Amino acid sequence: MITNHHRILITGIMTIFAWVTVLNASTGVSLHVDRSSVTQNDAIKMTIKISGSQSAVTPRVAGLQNFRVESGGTSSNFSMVNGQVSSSIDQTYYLYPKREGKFTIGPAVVPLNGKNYRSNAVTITVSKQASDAAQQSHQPVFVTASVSDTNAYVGQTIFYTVKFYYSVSVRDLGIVLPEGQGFLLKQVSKPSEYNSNVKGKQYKVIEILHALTTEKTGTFNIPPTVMKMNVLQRQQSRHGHSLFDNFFTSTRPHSVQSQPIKLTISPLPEANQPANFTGLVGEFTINANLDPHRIEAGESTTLSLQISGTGNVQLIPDISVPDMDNIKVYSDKPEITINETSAGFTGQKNMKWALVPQKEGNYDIGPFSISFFSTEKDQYKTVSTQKMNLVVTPGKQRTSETQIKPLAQSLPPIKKEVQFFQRDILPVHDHADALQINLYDHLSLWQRWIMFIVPPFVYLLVVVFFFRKTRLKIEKLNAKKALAQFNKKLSKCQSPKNIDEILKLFYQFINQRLQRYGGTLTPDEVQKILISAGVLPEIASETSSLLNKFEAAVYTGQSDQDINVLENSIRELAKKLDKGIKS
Amino acid sequence: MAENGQLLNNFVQANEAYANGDYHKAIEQYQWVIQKGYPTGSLYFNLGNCYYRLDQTGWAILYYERALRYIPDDPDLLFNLKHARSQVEDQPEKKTSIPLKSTLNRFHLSELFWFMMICHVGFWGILIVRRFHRSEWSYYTFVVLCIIWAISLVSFSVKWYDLNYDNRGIVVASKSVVRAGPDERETALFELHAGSIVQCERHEGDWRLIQFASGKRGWAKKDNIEPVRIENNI
Repeated sequence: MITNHHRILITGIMTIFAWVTVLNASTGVSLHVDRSSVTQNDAIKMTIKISGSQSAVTPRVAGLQNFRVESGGTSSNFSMVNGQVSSSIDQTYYLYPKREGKFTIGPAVVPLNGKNYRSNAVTITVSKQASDAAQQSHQPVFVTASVSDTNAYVGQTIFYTVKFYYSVSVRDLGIVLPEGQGFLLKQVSKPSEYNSNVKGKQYKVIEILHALTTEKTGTFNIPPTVMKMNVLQRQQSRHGHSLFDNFFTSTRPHSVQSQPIKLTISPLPEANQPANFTGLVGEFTINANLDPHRIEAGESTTLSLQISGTGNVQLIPDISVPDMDNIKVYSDKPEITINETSAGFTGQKNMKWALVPQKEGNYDIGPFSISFFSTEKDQYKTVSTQKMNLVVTPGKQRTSETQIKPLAQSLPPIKKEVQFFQRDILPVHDHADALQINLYDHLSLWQRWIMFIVPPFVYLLVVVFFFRKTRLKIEKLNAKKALAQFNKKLSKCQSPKNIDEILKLFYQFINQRLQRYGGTLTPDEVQKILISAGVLPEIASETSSLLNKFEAAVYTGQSDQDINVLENSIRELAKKLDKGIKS
Repeated sequence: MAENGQLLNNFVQANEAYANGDYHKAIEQYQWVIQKGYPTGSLYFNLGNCYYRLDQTGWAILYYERALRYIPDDPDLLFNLKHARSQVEDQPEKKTSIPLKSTLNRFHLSELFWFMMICHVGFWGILIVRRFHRSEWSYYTFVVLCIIWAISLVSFSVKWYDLNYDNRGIVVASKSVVRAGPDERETALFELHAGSIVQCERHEGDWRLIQFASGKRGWAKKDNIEPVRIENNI
């Protein structure tokens, strides 16, 4: 039974297959070798990449008759990035040169879907093995150093190649490059690793390429290159071969060094040296372009010049466009790119000018030329561009400023600092305000102090007033709470209740209610105070008589009334007083 | 104190004298206006211009410096002072400028005073408000005003101190020999030229103890050096 999940899975797989089918549209074959220059005993790794295919096919590669070929296996790649699916098969082969010489390998022809796809071709230079490599072939590790040319010209790029051969396990490799006066070494590419056969013995090789630059002429002795490492040694078991022998290894520090090299740097010949020679050594080309060729007067056209080549590209000169009648020339900043490759320093310099003809006519632009010393032909060469023709037709009257605007925007603005012709002082202040003084100066010192003191003084007044007001407010609130507190305290008194205690609480109530501070009052004094506080005379009299009763009971210890009756009567009286006393 | 009309009249006459190239008369008139009225920045500035025209750079710089007290941000004054200073022969000692201090120098004392007074009133005002109304906004207003009030108070105090305890002096003589002691027979240590600024310390008789730069101190003739601060009794 097919469930929904299965349907989704099948749909997904079909979609992937559909993509794979689409891949056939980008089918292609490319051929790549890891090195283009080898010795007769080195192995070359050749990879044939077949894009857009998932099935292994056997390519037919031309030019392999000079090599012994070993298959290195096949790997397939499948990737999907941002919905873009790509797949390829990499077929690897190891080529062992049979003889020295320059050979072209390829193209590789791959039959796919009834069609033959052809790859690119590569050229490989096979040279004789270095003599020092052959001499040291009995060693398990050794290093060789060589230069691309032992007799070179000053300014010429020379390659210093270090090859480290090893047939045992090594680790912690370190290289000590030769140092000396008059030359400088700079690594130009990543070290490459490959296999090599030296006198029938297989070695692994690490090759490091350096560019050697020198500004002096003469003969140099390049000291040896030293490689330091730890060589892994297997420790033999005392009891003969053991299952654990491979686990017991130790390292032994070891160093090897190459042979010194003698290098002769000759000065460039003075004979036939062109006038515009600037020290370029190598191989260079120059190209020029004028776009457009036909413009109206006042419009601009762009002249581009491109110098590219191999050698000391950093010395490529800036070409200047000669002054031309009726043409204004605005130069752009030259751009130079330098690459370090195994073929040496390659680079390109691009220069641009905006040409703005002021009048109609036919103008010849160029030719432009550069001179360099060709290391291939050992002579000076001058390369030139073709003469270009600019046709200028009568145009609308425009200002040159509007024409050069696009180029001017790309150029940094050239600003001129404003300079003084002469120096002098500015004139006197002759306006009437010159006699005006500000308000601060009008104020005397004590006036300023008063101004300063007033705000905190005002604050102090407010604080004092506010404090007093607050105190009165609190007292008033306390007075209002006097009755409640009296009743509460009276209720809290433990029974049997004491008359003296009740009397004391009542006096407290009187004082609190009348907002007065002082000692104990006599009944007569209470009467007077109550009358002055607005209490009706009869209530005041009642209070006085009740207090007399209480005091008599306190002092004699006898009472004609029950204590509870007295308590209730004093509660009633307190209630009347609370109402009767005016706030 | 003379009437405003008279002051204005003399001021106009001084300006005319300056325009006509009669700088001595202009100086006389400007000085009269200052003595009979109030000293202002513009009057000191004009005096500086007169002395500059008379090729007395020391006096010119002295009056420009005095004008700075009243109009510290006046562009004309700053321009002329810079120009006059550029003509001083002696190389002044380079001093590290304190950012806050250099900002303060751009403000007039009165500006700082009124700013301080506003902050002062605001600070005590918010304290009063908070006596009756303790809310969140009043608290934050109080904190902000407290900070500004403190800054304004410090700024004004520093400026006031700078102006009232300014002991700088300007060399007004074309050349002033600085000696090891207050006597003509003392060893001549070095000489200063018109327009150089020195720190005045004390005076004995006709001599003034000055310091030009760190390590360069000695006694110079009192007449050769004029204090920037007029109330200076050193």
